[in-house]
Amino acid sequence: MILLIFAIQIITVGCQKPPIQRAIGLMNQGRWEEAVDLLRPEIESNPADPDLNEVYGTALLRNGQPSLAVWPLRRSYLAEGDRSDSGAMLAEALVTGGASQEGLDLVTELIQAEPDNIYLLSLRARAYSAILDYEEALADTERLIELSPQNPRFLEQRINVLIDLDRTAEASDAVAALRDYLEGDEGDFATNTKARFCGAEARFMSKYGEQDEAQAMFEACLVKYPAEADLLMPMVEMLIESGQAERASEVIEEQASSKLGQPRLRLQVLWALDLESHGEMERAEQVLRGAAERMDAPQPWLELADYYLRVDDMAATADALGHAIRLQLAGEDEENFDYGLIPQEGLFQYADILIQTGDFDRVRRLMKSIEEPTFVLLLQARLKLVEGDARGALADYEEAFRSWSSNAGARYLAAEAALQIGEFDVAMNHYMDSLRADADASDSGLILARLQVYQRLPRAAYDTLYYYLRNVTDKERARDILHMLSQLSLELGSLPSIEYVRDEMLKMDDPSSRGMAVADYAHGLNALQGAEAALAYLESVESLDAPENAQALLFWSRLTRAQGDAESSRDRIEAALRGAPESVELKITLGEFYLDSPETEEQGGALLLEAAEAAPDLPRAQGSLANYLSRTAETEALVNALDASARLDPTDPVYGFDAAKTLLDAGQKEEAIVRLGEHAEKFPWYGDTATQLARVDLEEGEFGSRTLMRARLGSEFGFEDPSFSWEVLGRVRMARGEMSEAELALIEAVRFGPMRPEPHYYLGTVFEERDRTDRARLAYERALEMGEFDEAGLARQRLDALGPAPENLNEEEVTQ
Amino acid sequence: MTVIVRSQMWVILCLCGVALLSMGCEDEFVDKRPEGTLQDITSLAEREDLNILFVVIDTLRSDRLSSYGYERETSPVLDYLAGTGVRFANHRAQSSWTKASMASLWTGLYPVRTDVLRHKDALTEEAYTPAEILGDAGYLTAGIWRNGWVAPNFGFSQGFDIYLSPALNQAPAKLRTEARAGRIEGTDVDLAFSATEFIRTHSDQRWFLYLHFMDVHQYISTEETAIFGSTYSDAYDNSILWTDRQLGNILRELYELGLEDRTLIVVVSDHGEAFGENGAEGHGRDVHAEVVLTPFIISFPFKLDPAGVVQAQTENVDVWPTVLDMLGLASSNEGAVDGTSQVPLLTVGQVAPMQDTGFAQLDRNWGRIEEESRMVIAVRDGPLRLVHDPTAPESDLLYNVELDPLEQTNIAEIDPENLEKLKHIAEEHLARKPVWEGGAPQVEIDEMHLKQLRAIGYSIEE
Repeated sequence: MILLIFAIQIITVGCQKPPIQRAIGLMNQGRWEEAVDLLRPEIESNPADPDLNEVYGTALLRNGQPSLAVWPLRRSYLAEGDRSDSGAMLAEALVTGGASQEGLDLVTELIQAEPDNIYLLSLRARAYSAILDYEEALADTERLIELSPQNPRFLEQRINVLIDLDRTAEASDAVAALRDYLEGDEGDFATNTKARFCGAEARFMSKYGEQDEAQAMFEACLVKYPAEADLLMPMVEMLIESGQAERASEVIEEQASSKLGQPRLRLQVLWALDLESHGEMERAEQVLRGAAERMDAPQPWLELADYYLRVDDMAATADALGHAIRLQLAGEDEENFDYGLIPQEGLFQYADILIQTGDFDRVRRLMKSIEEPTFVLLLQARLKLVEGDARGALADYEEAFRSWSSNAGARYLAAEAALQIGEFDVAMNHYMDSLRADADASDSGLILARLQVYQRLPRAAYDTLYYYLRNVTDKERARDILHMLSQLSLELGSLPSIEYVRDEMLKMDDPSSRGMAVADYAHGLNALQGAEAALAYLESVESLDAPENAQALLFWSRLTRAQGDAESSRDRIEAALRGAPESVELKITLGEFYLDSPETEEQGGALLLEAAEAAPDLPRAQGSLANYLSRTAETEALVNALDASARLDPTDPVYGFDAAKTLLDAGQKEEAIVRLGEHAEKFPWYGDTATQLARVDLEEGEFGSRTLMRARLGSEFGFEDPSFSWEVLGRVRMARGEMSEAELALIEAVRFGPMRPEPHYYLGTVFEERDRTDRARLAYERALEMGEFDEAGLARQRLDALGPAPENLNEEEVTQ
Repeated sequence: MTVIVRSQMWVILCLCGVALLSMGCEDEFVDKRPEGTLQDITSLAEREDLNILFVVIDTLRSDRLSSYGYERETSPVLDYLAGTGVRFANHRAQSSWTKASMASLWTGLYPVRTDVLRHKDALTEEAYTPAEILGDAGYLTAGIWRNGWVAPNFGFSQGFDIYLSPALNQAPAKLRTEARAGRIEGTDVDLAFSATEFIRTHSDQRWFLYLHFMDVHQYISTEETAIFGSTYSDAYDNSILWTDRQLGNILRELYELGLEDRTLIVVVSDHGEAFGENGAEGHGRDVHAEVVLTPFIISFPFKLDPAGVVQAQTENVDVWPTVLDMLGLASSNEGAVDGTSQVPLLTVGQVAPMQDTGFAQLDRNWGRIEEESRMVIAVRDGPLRLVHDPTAPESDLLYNVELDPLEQTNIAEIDPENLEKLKHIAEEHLARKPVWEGGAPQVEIDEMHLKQLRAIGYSIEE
């Protein structure tokens, strides 16, 4: 028995190959990771063994782990003896594993022994490019071409390096050489490759300014290779750069609508984008839809979906995506769709769009195929949000943020959910985190800053906007931010900040921003250093009379008039307008100047009306007109002007609110309520709208949780009339029987508006309810002292019912 | 008067002769280092078998580590190192921007002296860096880094035998995860695997390994480490725990190979991170406490029981003078070193001269090529710290950092005398010349490199 065991052991030992050999066997089968796993313990025991290191390192390298392979391969290479075999491996590991300089040094050494080794030369060229030494990369590439002249990869590599070196003429010649080579070929190269190089030469020529020759060359290439996107796109680029946008559009349309072009999606997409760039949205849609219907494949429908996404039509996006998916899944009926075949990211995006279109059933079906937990959480959250479960939505969002804290869009929605349940601090944190995640993704920075302003925290708002400005890339948004910063700087009384904003706005491309910079700075100087300083600055502005400085000119005229020289102010504006009679901006300035004086108010109004009609899309025109109309009883005209302003500046909530409020004040309650509801949907954080909706609820006898949330939002972020916002909250609390909270709210209402009778009156009723008769009496008396108000009669009645105050009443004790 | 406080809080961990090191990984393993004392530091110079593991955790602020008093358990591995080694409790970086800070860290010189202040500045070849010093002393030197600001073209590869920025997806295939739902490819996992392989392959040699972690900078974590909540500040904490785990994985290899008793481990950071404490977010905008208070932890080839906690004010410029002193090697840069070795403080409680003054500096326009420099400098003198903008002295801020370490209460108006004194020190400091003639050389950054730097969040305008 013992002999048998020994025999078995001997046989086993004799058959057991050393680990290196077994590893090599695995590597020969491409089982790299297994080889690595096998050799790892060996390396730990024998780290100095050069052969072991070489095999182990090679396994790591071929397993896609060059940054690990570097170490054992280096050890092997540096060991004593001839280790040149591992040199090439090490060089590859160094170059691909992130140590380019070291790789370069080694491969240079190896090339000395093997100067014609194509593999080493390729590696070195790559290493030289990695360290930006393009001259040397070129030298190696040219050597590679000498050694392997038929290899188009090296020819193309040479072109790229020449471009990196900015040796465009030589790159162009290289392109021509490659083109000739490809055209001489009888079949190995795809037509689009040949087309690409046909056009590349023309493109280079255009870079030398030889536009006519370049264009002719492109046209000739197009004849040879019609409807090839790789040729057409650089041609279009060249035409646009040389100011021939119209010709570019013609060429695109010719090629894309040709028989050959119609089945080519890239051309259709190029055509549609070109049409979009000219504002021809309907035609763009027709092109893409035509392509989608014609080609009957998923990708064209996805392109159409992308178009609908760009124009913010979620329903159509969902429809197009649905088509794409149905085609992808090859005709199965929807109930039996295996959505699991669609990539998770695509499913997630599709589901997200479907939520926005209200197709919740389909979303729920889709979600069964989504495995990624974070996607599921985000979709669940969004569903809950639209279905009214804001608290549940917020919980799901916050769980999702553990894995995906930088999802700016989800953070934005989480903020909305938080607002809906009155978690205002949480909401503001999420807006801030949305901004941190991606400043360009939304207007979360502007919203947050506004909320901070509404909370009377101008410093915090300034810091938010400053951060936003430093991180946003959208120039339009930057302009809005700067304008808000300008106003806040004024409020903070910070001249350096005002100067900073001015300097930033003066750098902007559009004249209106530069004009605003001058005007805002002058306002700042006036506030902080007085009229003289502001006037001195304005008078130093070279082109103050130019249309772009119309607002600054207005401010100059107001300052000058205030100093008693109304005539000069008027004369200067009129002269400026005579010099630029077509300028709507200057017309507005004159109109506003006239408005400042009762004698010329009507004249001013007429000018502003004229300006608004002449330039309906100029925000200042509509804003100024609205300002004038607010003094008149022309409700409809005012609302129209405000609607126009809201259309022109959709991110600013003020116009929409003012329009609704105007209707409410004019007794057009029904329409006002509808508008307020729509406004609240669009701007769920806007306190003043929330206050008005809460007030309307109260009038209708509603005071449930929704009304309470509205009132709370109003008190937190209301800006127009904080006293009124707190009063509404107080009244909601009263209606709900929450007297303690009502008292606190009404005390705030009094604090913000001590001269308003209504908060005193309502506070009186709360005190009465809480049997604090003496305080109630005082509150009613104070209310009545301030004059007549709607509830004055009730206040008198209640005061009478309370009877006279005790003789020795100490008012101070009562109000403590 | 500065005092080393023997921390009693870690006694519990060291009760047994052999400590169990739980690093949040599945396996616990044994720390076989012998017990030692601070005096044993003096014997390190005699050893010829020591490895140096130098860990830089980018963007790590010290007050977010449990061992520095944070209430969340973000850093069990780092805490263990601190709990069996030395922690410098009041330690600051020299800048809030990586390149400037790292130049100071490596050279022991303040930013005004390295002249590495703007995005095109590079560390001069004339600098004699620790990698060069250690290489000359016979160490194998390797650096594995992931922040573009310490790339070779900025002069930071000097002295390294291999200076490597790991490729993506270096984990074994079975451990690689797809980038899904906010998780990204290319994390410190790649660095950790490369580092572990280095240690494994060179376990019989003497080496100096520099690791520059980036996942805290990028707020990266996983579901397993995202345990602190979902705000941005929570995400930062989650990323610290994640990074702590990666470091733990590397140390596991060290311990499993039995190298713990011959490896000196140093952990620092280049700067912290602001969350609005003084109106700013992120880093690279000013030099307030939240962006310069950074950890400095040394773990020795022996365990300290109790651990040491240095309360003296120290800075990153002190780090390499300290480490080189421990190794018995001369410091660098022709003796013109601003930092001070803390070895005398550790071994005999002797406070080094100039201990009580420190500087941090940032050119606010470091990334804006068209604009002039806009320096902000912080001067610490004793308990007071001034944040000074020479172009806007009316906005100077003065703090008592012993009472107000996070610099929330400006006392400039109530202490005008010290305000002037520190301003004078600041102006004198700013007038100092770079150590090397010609200052920092300038390098061009190509579009690809610029994109990489922008991708990790830096705003560089051309």
